[in-house]
Amino acid sequence: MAAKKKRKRTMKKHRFRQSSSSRAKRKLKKRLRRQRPVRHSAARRKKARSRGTRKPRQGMKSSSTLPASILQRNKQHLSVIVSVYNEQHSIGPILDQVQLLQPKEIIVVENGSTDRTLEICLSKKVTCFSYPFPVGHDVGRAIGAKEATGDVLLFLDGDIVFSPKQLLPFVRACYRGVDIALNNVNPLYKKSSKLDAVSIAKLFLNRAIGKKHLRYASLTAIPHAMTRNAVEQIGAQHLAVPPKAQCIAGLAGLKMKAVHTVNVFTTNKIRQSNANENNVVQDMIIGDHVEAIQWFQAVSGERGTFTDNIRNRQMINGDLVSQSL
Amino acid sequence: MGETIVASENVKISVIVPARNEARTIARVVREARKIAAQTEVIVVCNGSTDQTAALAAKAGAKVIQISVSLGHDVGRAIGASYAQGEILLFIDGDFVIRAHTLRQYTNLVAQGNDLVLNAYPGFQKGSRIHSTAVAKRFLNSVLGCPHLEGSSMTTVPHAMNRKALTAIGIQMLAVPPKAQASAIMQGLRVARAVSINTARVNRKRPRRKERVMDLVLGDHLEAIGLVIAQRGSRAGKTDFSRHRELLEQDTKDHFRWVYRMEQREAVSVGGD
Repeated sequence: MAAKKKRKRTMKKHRFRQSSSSRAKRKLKKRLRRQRPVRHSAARRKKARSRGTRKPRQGMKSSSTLPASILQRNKQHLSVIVSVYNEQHSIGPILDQVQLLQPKEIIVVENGSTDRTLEICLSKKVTCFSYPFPVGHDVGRAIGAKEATGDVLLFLDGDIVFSPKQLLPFVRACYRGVDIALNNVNPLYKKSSKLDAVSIAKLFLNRAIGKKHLRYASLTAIPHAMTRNAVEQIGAQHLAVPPKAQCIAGLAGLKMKAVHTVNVFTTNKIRQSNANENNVVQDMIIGDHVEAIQWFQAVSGERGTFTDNIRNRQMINGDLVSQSL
Repeated sequence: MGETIVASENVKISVIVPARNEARTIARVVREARKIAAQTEVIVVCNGSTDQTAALAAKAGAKVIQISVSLGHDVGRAIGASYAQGEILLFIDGDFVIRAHTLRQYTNLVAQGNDLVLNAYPGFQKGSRIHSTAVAKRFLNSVLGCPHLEGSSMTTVPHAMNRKALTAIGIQMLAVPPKAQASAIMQGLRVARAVSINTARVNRKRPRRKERVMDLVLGDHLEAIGLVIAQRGSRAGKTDFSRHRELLEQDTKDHFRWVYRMEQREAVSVGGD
């Protein structure tokens, strides 16, 4: 009896070890679906602590651990576009990390910087377009897209450093047939009662253009990648108003997918010192979404695909009283 | 088609109740509404009903407007409003009963000088989920520059307004509530929120209509945003934050900038503009 029990236990252990990764994945999925953290029993937590000898897998930092086949492809096809304005502290590490992807080219659109940003850019292996004035939000992306020669374009900002491992899924998705690979921010949303106006705008636009599944994923957020074909169909100049570009892409039938989650909220968090500026940016992004909706309405009608045939509209046209009796 | 009018002199408050086959609840709805104030007229817009709704409403003391065809969403409100004689108009539905003292909070807020008073219910949301209609309502309010209204909307009952608001908005506009709301806010009317009544919970469930109602509400909000765009311009008056859009129209070779190529590290100055 005891022997049988023991055998069973080892079998269980064995099974666990064999499929631990897929099991973990399934568990994670379940967790995300429930959207609340799992709290294990005290005993289990203790066990986990005592097991501490097992090290967590390290993030792949050196390019040698990145898949060679993709790096080979990057050398011929990948353009990385970084728009930057006064980011002397972060631009160096960003460019170093991006270099590990071994792209065909790195295009830096430096605009209006008054610090050492340009100097740092020029010390790296990049093509730099330097504007003497700030070109405005997202305009740098459009300019970079016009200059890019690669077949896949990866867009970054100058303020957040990403590891190559975080960026590769976006590029890979584009190699595999996705036209626009977006940051899958959806698992990061835990409480609908705390939604900000920008998130609501993203949700509404995706719903309106019939891309409900994208939820909060948006071209407004970085990182994202797209194919040259997508850029041409959208029109590079429209990338300066990201929600509009997303709208155009959606109606053109381009394949958009939220491919990988990179947390840009904690790194990009609102600080008290620039809260006012954040409000202005929020206003701008909402304006962008309104602009997108205007374009959408011009193409697919005032109500889009949403009919109101359960409403008897004739009854309110003309003279109400005489018609209703 | 006939019209039954119960005599009511010097009405001050008009309660408008669109109803279609609501025999189950209509009498109680009317009785509660009549308790709001001494001078209250209740107008039941009975449309497309095949049951006793009209008779029961009349018996409970309402003015009844009978229309043989079904009006569908929100149209009954506009028609009811065109008959209203009160200074304050309160809009409710015929399918669930709201107590008079709750309704009174809406009419009181109007009497206190607000032009439009909305239900504070922000729309269905739970955990990480949020209903698409709630998203649309919140988005419209933030486009209108009224984020404090959260998800409050004229799509939801109850809501109340004074005659000034009714005239400013226009009776026909009431048939597309988000548009009416956008119009009210853009005209600078005073909009307030009253108690929150969870209409999602008390509404009669009509499962087959769910999808079509969602389409109706989302389309209404798109129409409302169209109205905002028509009046305030393509960005609804929001900042563009010094985007140099003229750069996008030009060929990049004509831009005034310095170009540092990866291969030849020499500055090439390109004049332009």
